[in-house]
Amino acid sequence: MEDIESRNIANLEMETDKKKILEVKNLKTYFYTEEGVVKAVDGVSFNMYEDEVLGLVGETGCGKSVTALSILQLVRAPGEIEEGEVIFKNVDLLTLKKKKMRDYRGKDITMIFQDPLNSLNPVMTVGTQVKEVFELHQREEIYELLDQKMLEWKNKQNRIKELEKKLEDNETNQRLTKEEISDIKNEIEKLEEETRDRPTYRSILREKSRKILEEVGIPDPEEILERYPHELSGGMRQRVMISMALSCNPSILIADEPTTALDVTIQAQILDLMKDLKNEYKTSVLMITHDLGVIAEICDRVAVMYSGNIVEYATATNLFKNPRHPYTKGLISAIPTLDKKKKELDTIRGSVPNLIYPPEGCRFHPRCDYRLEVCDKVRPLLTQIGESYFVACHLFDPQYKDSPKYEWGKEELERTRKI
Amino acid sequence: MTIVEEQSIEIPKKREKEANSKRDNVILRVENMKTYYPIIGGFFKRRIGEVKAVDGVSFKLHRRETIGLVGESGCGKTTIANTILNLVPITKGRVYYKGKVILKSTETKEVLKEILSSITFSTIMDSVSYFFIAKMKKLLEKLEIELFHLFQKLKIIISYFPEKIREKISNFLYRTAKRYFRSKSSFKNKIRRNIQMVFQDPDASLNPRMKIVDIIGEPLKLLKNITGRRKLRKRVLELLNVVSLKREHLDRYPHEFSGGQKQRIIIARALACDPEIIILDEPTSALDVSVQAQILNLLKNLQKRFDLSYIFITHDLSVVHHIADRIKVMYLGKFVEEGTVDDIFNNPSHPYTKALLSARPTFDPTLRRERIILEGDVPSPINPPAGCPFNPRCQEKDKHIGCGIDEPRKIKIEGDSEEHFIFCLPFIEEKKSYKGWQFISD
Amino acid sequence: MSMIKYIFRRILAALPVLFGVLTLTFILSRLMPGDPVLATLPERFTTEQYLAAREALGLNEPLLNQYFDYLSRVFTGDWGQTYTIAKGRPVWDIIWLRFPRTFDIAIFSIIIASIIGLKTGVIAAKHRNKFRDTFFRGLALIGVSIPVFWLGLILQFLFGYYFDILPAVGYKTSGIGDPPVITYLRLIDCFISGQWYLALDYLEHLILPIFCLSFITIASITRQARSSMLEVLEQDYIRTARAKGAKEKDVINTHARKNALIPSVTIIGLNFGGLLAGAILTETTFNLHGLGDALLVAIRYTDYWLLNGIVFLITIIFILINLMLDVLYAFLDPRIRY
Repeated sequence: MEDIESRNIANLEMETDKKKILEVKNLKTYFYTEEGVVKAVDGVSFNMYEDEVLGLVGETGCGKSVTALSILQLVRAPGEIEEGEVIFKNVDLLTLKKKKMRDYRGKDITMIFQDPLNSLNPVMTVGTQVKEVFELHQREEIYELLDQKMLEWKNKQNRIKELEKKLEDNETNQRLTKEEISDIKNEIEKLEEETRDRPTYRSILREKSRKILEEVGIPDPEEILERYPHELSGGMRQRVMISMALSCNPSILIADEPTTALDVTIQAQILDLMKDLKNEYKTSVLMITHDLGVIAEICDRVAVMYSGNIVEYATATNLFKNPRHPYTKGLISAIPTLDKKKKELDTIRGSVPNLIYPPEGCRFHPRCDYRLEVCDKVRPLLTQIGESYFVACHLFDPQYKDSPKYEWGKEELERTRKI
Repeated sequence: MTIVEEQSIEIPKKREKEANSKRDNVILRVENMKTYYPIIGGFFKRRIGEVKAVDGVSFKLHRRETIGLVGESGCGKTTIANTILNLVPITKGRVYYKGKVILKSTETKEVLKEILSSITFSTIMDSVSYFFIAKMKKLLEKLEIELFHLFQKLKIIISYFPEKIREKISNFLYRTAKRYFRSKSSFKNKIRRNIQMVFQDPDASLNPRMKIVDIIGEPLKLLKNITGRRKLRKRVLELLNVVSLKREHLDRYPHEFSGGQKQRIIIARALACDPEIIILDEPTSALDVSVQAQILNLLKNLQKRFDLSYIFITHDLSVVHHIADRIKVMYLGKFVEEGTVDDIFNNPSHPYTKALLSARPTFDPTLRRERIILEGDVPSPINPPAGCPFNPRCQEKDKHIGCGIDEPRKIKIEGDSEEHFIFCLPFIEEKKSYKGWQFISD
Repeated sequence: MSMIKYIFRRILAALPVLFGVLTLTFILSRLMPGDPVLATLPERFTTEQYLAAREALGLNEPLLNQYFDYLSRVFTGDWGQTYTIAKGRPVWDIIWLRFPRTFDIAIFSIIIASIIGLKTGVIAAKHRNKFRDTFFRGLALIGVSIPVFWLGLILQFLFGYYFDILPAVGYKTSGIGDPPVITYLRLIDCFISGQWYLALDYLEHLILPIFCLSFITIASITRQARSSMLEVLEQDYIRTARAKGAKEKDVINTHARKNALIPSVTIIGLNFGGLLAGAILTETTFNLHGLGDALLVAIRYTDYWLLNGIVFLITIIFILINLMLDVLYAFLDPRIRY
């Protein structure tokens, strides 16, 4: 068993010339509740590449958010990361000490959340919250910048003094022409204008915050900095969240359902913005969503999660063109679309399994129409079946080629049809 | 475990004949509905303004038909539902249920205007009486204070008339008022039963401390007078079977169910009183895709089986495409486009509908088209923009005349079905504007 | 500006409440058993004496007249005269004599209790289900369940008798004298007149009652602070703060504390109101002659005017504290606007 798993993980390489930036290996996060151990994430492995968007798609309770939180080690009690590796730039984040990990959060790996109203502190102004990120991770840079600006400022001050002295001298010896005098006067005026405010730590912070808000398409950032989150619209709030996430130019941005709480037109705005920013900042994005449309819109690769496992992992174009796993197929055909004007939508029978007592073998087998005899006995692992295409399903495993198809009993069919 | 077969369920398939005999099958008609929420403020908590949540909306709902109300949050689609159910007072306009007025604005001015406009010269010339006051007193007990003052004033006016005229007027006023209040009080029992609502958040609409049998049984007890434990349980079980739930679910509590099952329970509760209309307020937006498909299928089956009419409120265009027959697209309390599903999806004509359609993320690469991304947010309905409410965000603003000045007009789109209208302004180029467009409200 | 308007409106809205309380206490006090006239008479008296005393107190008038008479006088500042604590002195004077003492104890207790209570609440929340949490919760449980007079007696026994380091009863050493009455607050009067030894003596006497009261107040504040802190720590914006890489200390201090403070402020305010209204048991235990003590006397001897006066004052205190709380909310939570 151990052997198979390690083999499987080693094989997860995608055919790409891009550099691997994050590697999640066999991640397991369990919640120790009173009812029992909830295996929310049970052996998830995937890779992220530079300048790419990976979509993590699945239904409620499939463990996609917990996976993301596990990467940043933000899982709340009673959740615990049981085992696995999260390798970011050759460092296993899970072995790091708390203090070290904090340096990665918000700087190299950042996160935005579903509900922008609750994700912003209601009693702090937008400005305070945006500035905080800079203060946490760019203190030295700001001080360097401050020194630089101070130097400039002093130089300008000196220049003003110089020029004033020139004018004073001129009063005695009258060597300058009228034009030269007016030039000098203009220059002094200009310099005085520029040096009116002495550069401070706060002013630089403010300037930086203003710039980043402008970057995410917030009109009138000066004013927004003074506002409280509840005074902004949903789209604006999500923009503020994005600006905080991008302020330190992170390598990875984890977006946990960033558009779910927003209206369709605002959702389009935010997706558009994320696409632009991703190209501009060369940030890799882990996009977590339940909306296949969003995935298709923005993602390069997709990992489909079901009940704590990744069941399909492929490039977005291949996956949508020809989904292999029965769950993915079911999911796609359950979505009402404009071209299939059918009388009835296809559904997946039954409902999501209990994660405390998940089904034996493949976790999808009680709902699967293509079920084989072997499915409730052996757990399928992600295996490569084509170029950059991985599926965890026995249907595609040559080992079980001859396994007979499972015959659904009539009563069983009837029972599962009704929830 | 026993599986109850569908045949054993006895839910009367009534109204068949009745339905066919009706003239044009219109079951609900909304006429120029306006719902404004007052903004209370100032030193003495006065009304300092109003939110125009619904601002002049008219539509008809036919039997066995589904109307899709589409729009973004805050556009007033839920307010329409709440107004129809009399959960919020209607400010202006009327709602007819099978040709009878069930909702009228209760504003004093409106009533006054109505009563006064009915008092013609001849009615005054006819009449007489002292009984007016005695009759009124009985009625006044039920009246609101505002109306009381109104009648007080009228009394004074009437007292100047000769005695004979007085009686006629008072009789007339009495009748009008009685009619008015009858229509209002009968609403609660009778109409409430026939119009049911399913809300978005299944958790919020199920009392966590009640068993399923009590949750579904409650409307049966209250509105249908079914008492007796056995009878009630039997009926609840029938309803549960209709929504594919089973006997063992009867005595469970809501927290033991998944989101989809909870929504089924709510649908069962809505069905409890044999409604004719069900207003579905985002019934699937809190659910996962696969569960959403189950619920949509269920709703479609139920519609066929029980002759239901749906008002389906949603922001999801794919869902509305799947389930609706006709669609109304809303923006800031007003309709911007209405038509059949094919009209809207094959020939979206209003810029907002176009943007909405293109903004919807789709995973089918063949269906992907150039996206129109609207700028900015929906303006506040407290202070809506002048003219066409959509004009600050409109991507075709340059092509039309008077977007920020004139109210949009109802324009018929020719070549499509009879019912395809948009609410827009004419094109700048004269020729272009009238090609295939027909102005209605000029 | 809107805040001033709001405060003004709230005060206007409080007038009916005051009026109602006055009426209710008037009626209730008249329903109480006991005859105040007897208290003003010598042990043996004649019917004439009784009637004369009755008339002197104004109790021979019809009840309605008495009521309106009282109402008209209350709003002009004449709260009647007491005939029990100090015969013939205006109630107003008695209240001004007694209330500052209660105020001293209350303000010290509430300040100490809020500082310690909030801190322990946050610590308990931070170390949820660990030793410190269990310890503080246990202490808080003792605090809310312990009877205050029992705690007072134990303290008196330990520090006043057994160790003999603190005075057990009273608010001054007998015969030490009083400072000139300037602000009615003894402590400040002592400072103004420069009699430091009086201030020290006063404070020494206050230590035990303040400890006693604040211990109980700390308990309820700790419980509230802990639960609201735990609730805030569950919120999404705390997760955001952690995702930013903020230190745990900053998460608690800058992100969570202000949010958690809002529900705690309510508890602090209500406790303060309760303390100002007179901690009857504590004041009796320590023989402090505060407002609670006066209230007890007024009830025991059916002293109408004193009783009505004190209840009226307590009502005003509670109205003001509620107003203060609402104003404070607006400062703590930007979402609240008036």
